[in-house]
Amino acid sequence: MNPRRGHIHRLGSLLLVSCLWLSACDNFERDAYRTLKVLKVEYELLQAHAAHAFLAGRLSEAQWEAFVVTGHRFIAAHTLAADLMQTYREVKRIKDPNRRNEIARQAAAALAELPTLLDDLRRLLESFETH
Amino acid sequence: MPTKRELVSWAELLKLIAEMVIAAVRHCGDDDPIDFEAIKIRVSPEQALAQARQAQSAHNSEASERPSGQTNES
Repeated sequence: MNPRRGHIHRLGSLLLVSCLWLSACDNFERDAYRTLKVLKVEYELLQAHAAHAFLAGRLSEAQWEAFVVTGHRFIAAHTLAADLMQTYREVKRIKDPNRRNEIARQAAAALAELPTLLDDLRRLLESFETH
Repeated sequence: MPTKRELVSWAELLKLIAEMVIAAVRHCGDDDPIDFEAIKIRVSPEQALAQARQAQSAHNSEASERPSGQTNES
Protein backbone atom coordinates (compact mmCIF):
# COMPACT_ATOMS: atom_id res chain seq x y z
CA MET A 1 0.00 0.00 0.00
CA ASN A 2 1.16 3.52 -0.76
CA PRO A 3 2.51 4.89 2.58
CA ARG A 4 0.70 8.22 2.15
CA ARG A 5 -2.57 6.36 1.59
CA GLY A 6 -1.82 4.33 4.72
CA HIS A 7 -1.50 7.55 6.72
CA ILE A 8 -4.78 8.86 5.36
CA HIS A 9 -6.53 5.56 6.16
CA ARG A 10 -5.18 5.62 9.70
CA LEU A 11 -6.29 9.23 10.13
CA GLY A 12 -9.71 8.36 8.78
CA SER A 13 -10.07 5.39 11.12
CA LEU A 14 -8.95 7.57 14.03
CA LEU A 15 -11.61 10.07 13.03
CA LEU A 16 -14.35 7.43 13.07
CA VAL A 17 -13.22 5.99 16.39
CA SER A 18 -13.01 9.46 17.93
CA CYS A 19 -16.45 10.28 16.56
CA LEU A 20 -17.95 7.21 18.23
CA TRP A 21 -15.96 7.73 21.43
CA LEU A 22 -16.86 11.39 21.67
CA SER A 23 -20.51 10.65 21.12
CA ALA A 24 -20.63 8.10 23.93
CA CYS A 25 -22.71 9.61 26.70
CA ASP A 26 -25.47 9.06 29.23
CA ASN A 27 -28.33 7.41 27.36
CA PHE A 28 -29.40 5.73 24.17
CA GLU A 29 -31.40 8.67 22.80
CA ARG A 30 -28.73 11.25 23.55
CA ASP A 31 -26.01 8.93 22.13
CA ALA A 32 -28.01 8.39 18.98
CA TYR A 33 -28.76 12.10 18.62
CA ARG A 34 -25.12 13.14 18.97
CA THR A 35 -23.92 10.39 16.65
CA LEU A 36 -26.45 11.36 13.96
CA LYS A 37 -25.62 15.03 14.36
CA VAL A 38 -21.86 14.50 14.07
CA LEU A 39 -22.28 12.15 11.11
CA LYS A 40 -24.50 14.71 9.37
CA VAL A 41 -21.87 17.44 9.76
CA GLU A 42 -19.12 15.09 8.59
CA TYR A 43 -21.12 13.94 5.60
CA GLU A 44 -21.95 17.50 4.56
CA LEU A 45 -18.26 18.45 4.73
CA LEU A 46 -17.37 15.42 2.60
CA GLN A 47 -20.12 16.26 0.12
CA ALA A 48 -19.03 19.90 -0.20
CA HIS A 49 -15.44 18.74 -0.65
CA ALA A 50 -16.48 16.35 -3.44
CA ALA A 51 -18.51 19.07 -5.19
CA HIS A 52 -15.55 21.48 -5.09
CA ALA A 53 -13.15 18.77 -6.29
CA PHE A 54 -15.48 18.05 -9.22
CA LEU A 55 -15.68 21.73 -10.15
CA ALA A 56 -11.90 22.02 -9.85
CA GLY A 57 -11.51 19.15 -12.32
CA ARG A 58 -10.05 16.70 -9.81
CA LEU A 59 -13.06 14.38 -10.20
CA SER A 60 -14.44 13.22 -13.55
CA GLU A 61 -18.15 13.21 -14.39
CA ALA A 62 -18.29 9.42 -13.80
CA GLN A 63 -16.51 9.73 -10.46
CA TRP A 64 -18.88 12.48 -9.34
CA GLU A 65 -21.83 10.30 -10.38
CA ALA A 66 -20.42 7.41 -8.31
CA PHE A 67 -20.11 9.77 -5.34
CA VAL A 68 -23.71 10.92 -5.84
CA VAL A 69 -25.01 7.31 -5.78
CA THR A 70 -23.07 6.47 -2.60
CA GLY A 71 -24.03 9.82 -1.06
CA HIS A 72 -27.73 9.13 -1.60
CA ARG A 73 -27.25 5.72 0.02
CA PHE A 74 -25.74 7.41 3.09
CA ILE A 75 -28.51 10.03 3.26
CA ALA A 76 -31.17 7.29 3.06
CA ALA A 77 -29.49 5.28 5.85
CA HIS A 78 -29.10 8.41 8.01
CA THR A 79 -32.75 9.36 7.48
CA LEU A 80 -33.86 5.81 8.31
CA ALA A 81 -31.87 5.88 11.57
CA ALA A 82 -33.36 9.29 12.49
CA ASP A 83 -36.90 8.04 11.72
CA LEU A 84 -36.38 4.91 13.81
CA MET A 85 -35.14 7.02 16.72
CA GLN A 86 -38.21 9.24 16.39
CA THR A 87 -40.41 6.11 16.44
CA TYR A 88 -38.48 4.85 19.49
CA ARG A 89 -39.30 8.08 21.34
CA GLU A 90 -42.99 7.68 20.51
CA VAL A 91 -43.10 3.97 21.40
CA LYS A 92 -41.42 4.69 24.74
CA ARG A 93 -44.46 6.71 25.78
CA ILE A 94 -46.95 3.86 25.20
CA LYS A 95 -45.06 1.59 27.62
CA ASP A 96 -44.81 -1.50 25.44
CA PRO A 97 -41.41 -3.00 26.33
CA ASN A 98 -41.42 -5.55 23.50
CA ARG A 99 -42.17 -2.99 20.83
CA ARG A 100 -39.72 -0.53 22.39
CA ASN A 101 -36.93 -3.15 22.45
CA GLU A 102 -37.62 -4.13 18.86
CA ILE A 103 -37.44 -0.51 17.65
CA ALA A 104 -34.32 0.09 19.76
CA ARG A 105 -32.69 -2.96 18.15
CA GLN A 106 -33.55 -1.73 14.64
CA ALA A 107 -32.35 1.79 15.41
CA ALA A 108 -29.08 0.52 16.89
CA ALA A 109 -28.49 -1.58 13.77
CA ALA A 110 -29.20 1.41 11.50
CA LEU A 111 -26.87 3.61 13.56
CA ALA A 112 -24.10 1.03 13.54
CA GLU A 113 -24.14 0.94 9.75
CA LEU A 114 -23.57 4.69 9.30
CA PRO A 115 -19.86 5.03 10.18
CA THR A 116 -19.03 2.26 7.69
CA LEU A 117 -21.04 3.97 4.95
CA LEU A 118 -19.32 7.28 5.68
CA ASP A 119 -15.95 5.55 5.63
CA ASP A 120 -16.84 4.00 2.23
CA LEU A 121 -17.61 7.48 0.91
CA ARG A 122 -14.37 8.89 2.24
CA ARG A 123 -12.35 6.04 0.72
CA LEU A 124 -14.16 6.45 -2.59
CA LEU A 125 -13.31 10.13 -2.68
CA GLU A 126 -9.75 9.45 -1.62
CA SER A 127 -9.28 6.84 -4.36
CA PHE A 128 -10.67 9.25 -6.99
CA GLU A 129 -8.43 12.07 -5.91
CA THR A 130 -5.24 10.03 -5.73
CA HIS A 131 -5.48 8.08 -9.00
CA MET B 1 7.93 12.78 -7.36
CA PRO B 2 4.28 13.73 -6.71
CA THR B 3 2.56 15.87 -9.32
CA LYS B 4 1.02 19.24 -8.48
CA ARG B 5 -2.44 17.67 -8.82
CA GLU B 6 -1.53 14.92 -6.32
CA LEU B 7 -0.19 17.47 -3.85
CA VAL B 8 -3.36 19.55 -4.13
CA SER B 9 -5.49 16.43 -3.64
CA TRP B 10 -3.57 15.30 -0.55
CA ALA B 11 -3.61 18.79 0.94
CA GLU B 12 -7.36 19.02 0.36
CA LEU B 13 -7.97 15.57 1.86
CA LEU B 14 -5.92 16.36 4.95
CA LYS B 15 -7.77 19.66 5.34
CA LEU B 16 -11.07 17.78 5.06
CA ILE B 17 -10.08 15.25 7.75
CA ALA B 18 -9.04 18.09 10.07
CA GLU B 19 -12.37 19.85 9.46
CA MET B 20 -14.26 16.61 10.17
CA VAL B 21 -12.42 16.08 13.46
CA ILE B 22 -13.07 19.69 14.52
CA ALA B 23 -16.76 19.32 13.61
CA ALA B 24 -17.00 16.08 15.59
CA VAL B 25 -15.44 17.66 18.67
CA ARG B 26 -17.58 20.82 18.39
CA HIS B 27 -20.90 19.00 18.02
CA CYS B 28 -20.33 16.18 20.51
CA GLY B 29 -20.51 18.52 23.48
CA ASP B 30 -23.85 19.98 22.47
CA ASP B 31 -26.69 19.48 24.91
CA ASP B 32 -29.43 21.01 22.80
CA PRO B 33 -32.93 19.49 22.93
CA ILE B 34 -33.21 16.20 21.05
CA ASP B 35 -34.96 16.65 17.70
CA PHE B 36 -34.45 13.80 15.25
CA GLU B 37 -36.30 15.67 12.51
CA ALA B 38 -33.89 18.62 12.68
CA ILE B 39 -30.76 16.50 12.21
CA LYS B 40 -31.80 14.89 8.94
CA ILE B 41 -29.58 15.64 5.95
CA ARG B 42 -31.45 18.11 3.75
CA VAL B 43 -28.79 18.94 1.17
CA SER B 44 -28.43 16.35 -1.60
CA PRO B 45 -25.21 15.93 -3.62
CA GLU B 46 -26.91 17.71 -6.55
CA GLN B 47 -27.81 20.67 -4.32
CA ALA B 48 -24.29 20.74 -2.87
CA LEU B 49 -22.91 20.95 -6.41
CA ALA B 50 -25.29 23.80 -7.28
CA GLN B 51 -24.21 25.65 -4.12
CA ALA B 52 -20.53 25.10 -4.94
CA ARG B 53 -21.12 26.42 -8.48
CA GLN B 54 -22.85 29.48 -7.09
CA ALA B 55 -20.03 30.12 -4.61
CA GLN B 56 -17.48 29.67 -7.36
CA SER B 57 -19.17 32.14 -9.72
CA ALA B 58 -19.57 34.66 -6.89
CA HIS B 59 -15.88 34.25 -6.08
CA ASN B 60 -14.92 34.63 -9.76
CA SER B 61 -16.96 37.79 -10.25
CA GLU B 62 -15.50 39.22 -7.03
CA ALA B 63 -11.99 38.48 -8.29
CA SER B 64 -12.67 40.08 -11.70
CA GLU B 65 -13.93 43.26 -9.99
CA ARG B 66 -10.70 43.56 -7.99
CA PRO B 67 -8.01 45.92 -9.39
CA SER B 68 -5.29 44.02 -11.29
CA GLY B 69 -2.36 42.77 -9.20
CA GLN B 70 -4.53 42.34 -6.08
CA THR B 71 -4.75 38.72 -4.86
CA ASN B 72 -6.93 36.82 -2.40
CA GLU B 73 -4.22 37.05 0.22
CA SER B 74 -3.90 40.83 0.09
